[in-house]
Amino acid sequence: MKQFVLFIAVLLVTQFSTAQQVELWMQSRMDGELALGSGDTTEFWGFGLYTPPIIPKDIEFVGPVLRFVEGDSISVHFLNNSPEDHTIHWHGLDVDQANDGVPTTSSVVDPDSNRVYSFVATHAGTFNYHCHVFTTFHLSMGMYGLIVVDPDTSRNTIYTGGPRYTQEHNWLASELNRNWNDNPISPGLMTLYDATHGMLNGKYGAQLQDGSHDIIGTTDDTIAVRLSSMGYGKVRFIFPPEAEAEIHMSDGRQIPSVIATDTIDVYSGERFTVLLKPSAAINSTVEIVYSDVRSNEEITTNEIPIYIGVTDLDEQNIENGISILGNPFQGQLKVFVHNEAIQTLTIYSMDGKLMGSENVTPGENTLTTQLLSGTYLIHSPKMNGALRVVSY
Amino acid sequence: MNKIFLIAAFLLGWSNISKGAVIDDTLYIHRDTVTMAELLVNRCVLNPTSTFEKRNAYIDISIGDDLQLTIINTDSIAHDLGVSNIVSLGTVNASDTVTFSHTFNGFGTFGIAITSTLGYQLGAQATVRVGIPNQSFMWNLWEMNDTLSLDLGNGITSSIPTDYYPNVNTINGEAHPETVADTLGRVIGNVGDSIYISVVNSGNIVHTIHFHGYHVKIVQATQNTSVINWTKDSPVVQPRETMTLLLVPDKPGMYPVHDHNLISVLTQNSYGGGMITNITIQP
Repeated sequence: MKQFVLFIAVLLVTQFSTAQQVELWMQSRMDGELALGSGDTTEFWGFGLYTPPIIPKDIEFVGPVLRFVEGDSISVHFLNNSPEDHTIHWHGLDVDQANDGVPTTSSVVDPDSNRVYSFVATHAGTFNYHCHVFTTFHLSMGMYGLIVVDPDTSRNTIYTGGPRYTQEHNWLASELNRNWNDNPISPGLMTLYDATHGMLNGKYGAQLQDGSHDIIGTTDDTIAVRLSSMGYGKVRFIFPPEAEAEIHMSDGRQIPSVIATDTIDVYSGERFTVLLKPSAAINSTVEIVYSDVRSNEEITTNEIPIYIGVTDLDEQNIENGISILGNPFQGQLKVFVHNEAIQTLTIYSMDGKLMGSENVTPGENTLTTQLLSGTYLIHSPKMNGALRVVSY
Repeated sequence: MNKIFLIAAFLLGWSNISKGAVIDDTLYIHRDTVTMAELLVNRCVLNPTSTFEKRNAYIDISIGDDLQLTIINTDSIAHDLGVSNIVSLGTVNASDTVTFSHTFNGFGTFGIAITSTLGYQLGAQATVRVGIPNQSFMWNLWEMNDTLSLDLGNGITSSIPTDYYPNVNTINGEAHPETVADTLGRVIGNVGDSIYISVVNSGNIVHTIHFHGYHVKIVQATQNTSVINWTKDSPVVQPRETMTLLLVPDKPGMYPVHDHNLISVLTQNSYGGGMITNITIQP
């Protein structure tokens, strides 16, 4: 009987715990080419994931987002596929000394060598990884990325027992000192660092206007935005007041009291988990202002579009310029366009992924989709927000 | 009669218990050129003796103590003083001596700082640790550009320019690796200890202190008080802010702790210098 109870207990623990053994293969390379727009490129160094035995030449600027579950035991097989020493420091994960990735207190990984980093993701939250060799320089060259650790119960809460979210955005801010990336052999005095680009997830300016970073939702949504900085200065995120931004976590820990604010300053190495609970329609931008902490002068500003629609009541649909005729839908989505300025409608998944786009004309339109079952957002830049549609 | 006497004695005793002690101390304002982080700089400090030292002084007192502080200004110019941007103490003229009084009613780390321009720029700020238990460490941060400091000291310029490029980045007056030999700054303890770290930003820019291996609790701060009781691995310390951090290590190890504004971990052009020290935790 006792054995049976024990068996049931073990079974329950197994079923409710989603933590597991995780193995990843990462490489570092020093031959990346970063597109800066208009055919302009510069050099970058960085990290990339791969599946052995194939080792591709691809690395990413910035490094790939690593996603773990709280309690995961993680082994990262790191191949330094480059001609110089590198490491991976697990910023904020509080790993043991041997796996901390600092040359003087743990170890470096020599060129064309490898090692395994092993650690447990003990807390849910937002973290970073970066090379800790000659960090002042290697960070500007691009050797960093973001880590998200989900609580063990669900991917839709920010920490165990914490608030749920309906969609999420992970934003890693950083800077680029173009002069260093153009001349990595002789970058000049490190103390004379000057940022030339303010980046978000490795993109800047017009590159961020391709729709891939847009926040699109409705007033029914709770939108998690994870903020992080691997730059050198101050990054100020300014949300529209109607977004009702709240800080819930910082540096991978829940804060004692939620702070409601539309302006959040993030300094190098800091992270914040923010929830947006929009209270009204929004057709605006999130401003991201990069400043030099030495001069307090502004370096640049990026803007991320945010479109929030009110809940899809008919009269509000008309206010938005379209009405959905038949929602939920299967295969074909019928839309009535009231506003002749709306010429294109775009469908996004709830996590912001572009699913398709179609030209429309005033009156009734039929959009043919091959969407899987689920909830999606339909949007046009001419609309006052986005509308939620359900495919079945 | 006896009852009245007892009440009077009780009130006298209560008065003595609830009121802190009067603490007399003396600090000297010194300004001189000195080598810091391998470069010659003009440095202004509050020292405990008449001999110039590049490190600012610290004073340990209890909560409620009344600090009667005599300031002896050995400099050739007058300086204004204040307590951590909380209260202005007044002015000490060149070659003059003034005694100030301030009662410290709250726990934590505070600064006795020169608030007038030159002394502020050149990093003059002593630390007052109020009610902090014995196992405590202190990081008094200051960054500067060597040439600029000499120009400021010589009156060639009077302000920090927008093209400010600090190349002297120090903790308690030292740059890494010398910081590791500083017993006040290098944190040594055991797993489970309650280790208090007083952080004082005497510099001109914000510094973000990143802890490897551990998170710390911000138990007190004088400017951004909204972060009190937050647990962070990268607390942010604004210019002239003072802060008390509590570290309770959960594992042994030797880890670096450093400014994550990575231009501050340089000594001249060498990476691995500047604002870095170590935390060593035994089992």
